[in-house]
Amino acid sequence: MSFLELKNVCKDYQSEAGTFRALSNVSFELNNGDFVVIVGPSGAGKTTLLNVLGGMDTTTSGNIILDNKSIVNLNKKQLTDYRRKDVGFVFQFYNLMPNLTALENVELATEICSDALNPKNTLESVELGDKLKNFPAQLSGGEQQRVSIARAIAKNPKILLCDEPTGALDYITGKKILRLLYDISKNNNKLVIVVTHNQALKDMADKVIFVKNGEIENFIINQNPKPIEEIEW
Amino acid sequence: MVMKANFLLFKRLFKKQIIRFLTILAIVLVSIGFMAGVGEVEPKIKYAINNYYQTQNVSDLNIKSTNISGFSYTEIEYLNNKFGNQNILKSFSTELKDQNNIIRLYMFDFSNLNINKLEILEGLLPKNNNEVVVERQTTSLKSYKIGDSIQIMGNSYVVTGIVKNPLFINKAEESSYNYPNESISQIVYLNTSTLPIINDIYISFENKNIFNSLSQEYEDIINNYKDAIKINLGENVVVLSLFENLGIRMSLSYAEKVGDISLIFVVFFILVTLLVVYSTMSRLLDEERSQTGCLVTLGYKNYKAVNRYIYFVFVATIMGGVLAFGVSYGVTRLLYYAFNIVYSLPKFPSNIDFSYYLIVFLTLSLSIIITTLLSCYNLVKNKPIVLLSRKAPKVGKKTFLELFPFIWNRFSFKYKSTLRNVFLFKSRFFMTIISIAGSTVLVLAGLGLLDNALKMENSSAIIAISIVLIVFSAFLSELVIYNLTNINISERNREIATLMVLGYKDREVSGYIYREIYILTLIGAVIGMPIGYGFLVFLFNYIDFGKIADINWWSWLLTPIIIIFFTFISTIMLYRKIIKIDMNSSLKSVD
Repeated sequence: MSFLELKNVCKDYQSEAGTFRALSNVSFELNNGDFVVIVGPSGAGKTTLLNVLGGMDTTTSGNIILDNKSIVNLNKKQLTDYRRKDVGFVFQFYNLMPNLTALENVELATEICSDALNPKNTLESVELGDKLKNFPAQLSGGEQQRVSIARAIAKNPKILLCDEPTGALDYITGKKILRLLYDISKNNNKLVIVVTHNQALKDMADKVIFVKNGEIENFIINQNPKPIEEIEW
Repeated sequence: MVMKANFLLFKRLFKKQIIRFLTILAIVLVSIGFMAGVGEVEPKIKYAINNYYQTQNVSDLNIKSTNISGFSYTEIEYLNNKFGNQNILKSFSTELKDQNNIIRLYMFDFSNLNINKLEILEGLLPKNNNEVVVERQTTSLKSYKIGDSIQIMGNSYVVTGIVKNPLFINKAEESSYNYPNESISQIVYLNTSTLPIINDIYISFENKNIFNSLSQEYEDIINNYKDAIKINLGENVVVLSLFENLGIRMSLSYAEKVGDISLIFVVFFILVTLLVVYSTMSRLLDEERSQTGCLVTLGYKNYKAVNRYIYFVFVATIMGGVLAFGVSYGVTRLLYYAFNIVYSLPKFPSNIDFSYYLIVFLTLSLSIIITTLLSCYNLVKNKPIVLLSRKAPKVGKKTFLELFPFIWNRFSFKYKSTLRNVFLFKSRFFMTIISIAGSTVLVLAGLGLLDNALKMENSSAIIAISIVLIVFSAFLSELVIYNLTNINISERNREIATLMVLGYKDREVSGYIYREIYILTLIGAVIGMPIGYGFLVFLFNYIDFGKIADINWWSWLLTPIIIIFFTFISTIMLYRKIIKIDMNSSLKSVD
């Protein structure tokens, strides 16, 4: 049995115009240590898929099993608990608390987890050991994203979900962040899922999920992923 | 095109900021309702008394002869010449004691009674010689019914009517002239064309306009007449004027006290209201600065880029102000009738006077519009590029507490974040603290006034204004705190959504926001208390009523508790707003 398994996941949104199907029969399986890229055009359903995986939204039908536990049909409290313990989330715009230092931002996440990692060590692992006391405004974009990543991995989650993590970064910094995420998946044996509209990133992933019109258009397993440094776009 | 896009933006602003709109509306409603309502009491009472004085042709002077045989013919002739025969009411008055009751008896000719016209409350004026009318029942005067028979000086009289003498608007005890330390239990008016002796004369001035609520000019005239009468009639007369009439004097001094109180509180209500509107609008403008920046960049003139906010405030103010008329009318009526418990004022004047309300409404709405223009100007004076970029938090700024690591390090990081949020945004901090301190002062003043009113005799009517003040201050404080909490939540929307994604529970998320509100409330209340103390000293001195020592100790304790309770209510009311925040808003770009 795979670590993460989606079976016929559907998500409908009701609006005045009628029912809109954002996800339609989505099924795939992923494993620990996988570096996964979800690609697709805007409005394809990437964000919905991420929301459902991250426990930020519920499904209409189908099943999602993470580490032998189904996460569909959870109530609001259980979903909060799931996000708290099992999910690490990296945002496109970092979403750091402006009034907390880098260290405090990581503590913000570890404080509510039982088997969290040491915040200081985690920041050191993303090479920010010398910027612990800096406020977000005193950090560059790339540094802020690394704090955000440290905040996500310090929770010691089961999966790391990244929403366009390089979307607000320049080319070189973006690559460094992707390298960091890739290394986390391999060194810590974590399932890392990156959502992006950048098709080029598919070459670096172990598994690539193509989403279009709410459906899985293609699911590719890369036997030989390319190092990010060799990918150009 | 400009019109259309702007109208759309206005509509969206309205929809999105409906809570803010309603709070501004409500604050204006409470503020104008209180100010116009309380302010109108003095003019209303004065108007009613002046009117009553004229319609009932109330006597300005009452001259009593202490001679056993009453006034002599020459004395009456002197008065007739001086004031005119038609302006003089001659009567005989005496007090009769049977068992424990003292009855005061007035005898005069009812056939051409045009001075101190008795107001007939029930029944009819007497026609026959064996008929009398009696004064209405009050807290001290006992009641007779129409048809009752009364024994006076061996004769039997039938009561034909219940009346109100315009000189007796006091409901409290009327003390006896003849029996010291006793009060009378009934007043009877007997119709007669032949007075045994004349010992009581009432004089009504030709020109009734000089009275003008016991004006200074009137007092001077009264004193001149008093002197002249004393000189001419000798020492055997007592001259009384309306200044010795407890009912009229107390009613007017109550009116003036309410007037003074309202004047002082008007200043406070206006200040708190303006501060709240200014901080609400400047924080709203700041929140939506990128939208304004975008319009400016597109080539919108400065005014066009922000005019929707002016309309927003304008509509809220006008709506609140219009609704406030009903509230103010109710407050005026309430305070008018509250005074009637002790003094029986004439009926509430039915004329609706807009002048005071309009002055308050205009002043407040104009200041609000100017205030909003000011906050708009403060925004658009920035270059578009500044508007478009997010307001950066001051880099690496530390709160003063961080200078003392041994204190700072004791706080958990949750509190560190809260304390930084509280102290780092200086203008926001001060505006919040001042408006909460202002509310605290108002509540404390209301309680202090109430305590004093409860302890003093014959000050019940002040109880009413204290309660009105407490209620309105409470509403204002609640609105101030609710508004601040609401603004805080909407400004921190993104942080809240992030915390939710991180797996913070509802209570933890709300705690993150609410800690800040509670700390601000606490600081505001703590600062408000000494200011309130000083304000009360000033207030008691100004209205010449009450003292600090008469304030119950629990009122000092209750005030901050009330303020914190209001914060509690606001946080409960806004809890849903927090937990309903869409987590997806954390994914979107900073706007």
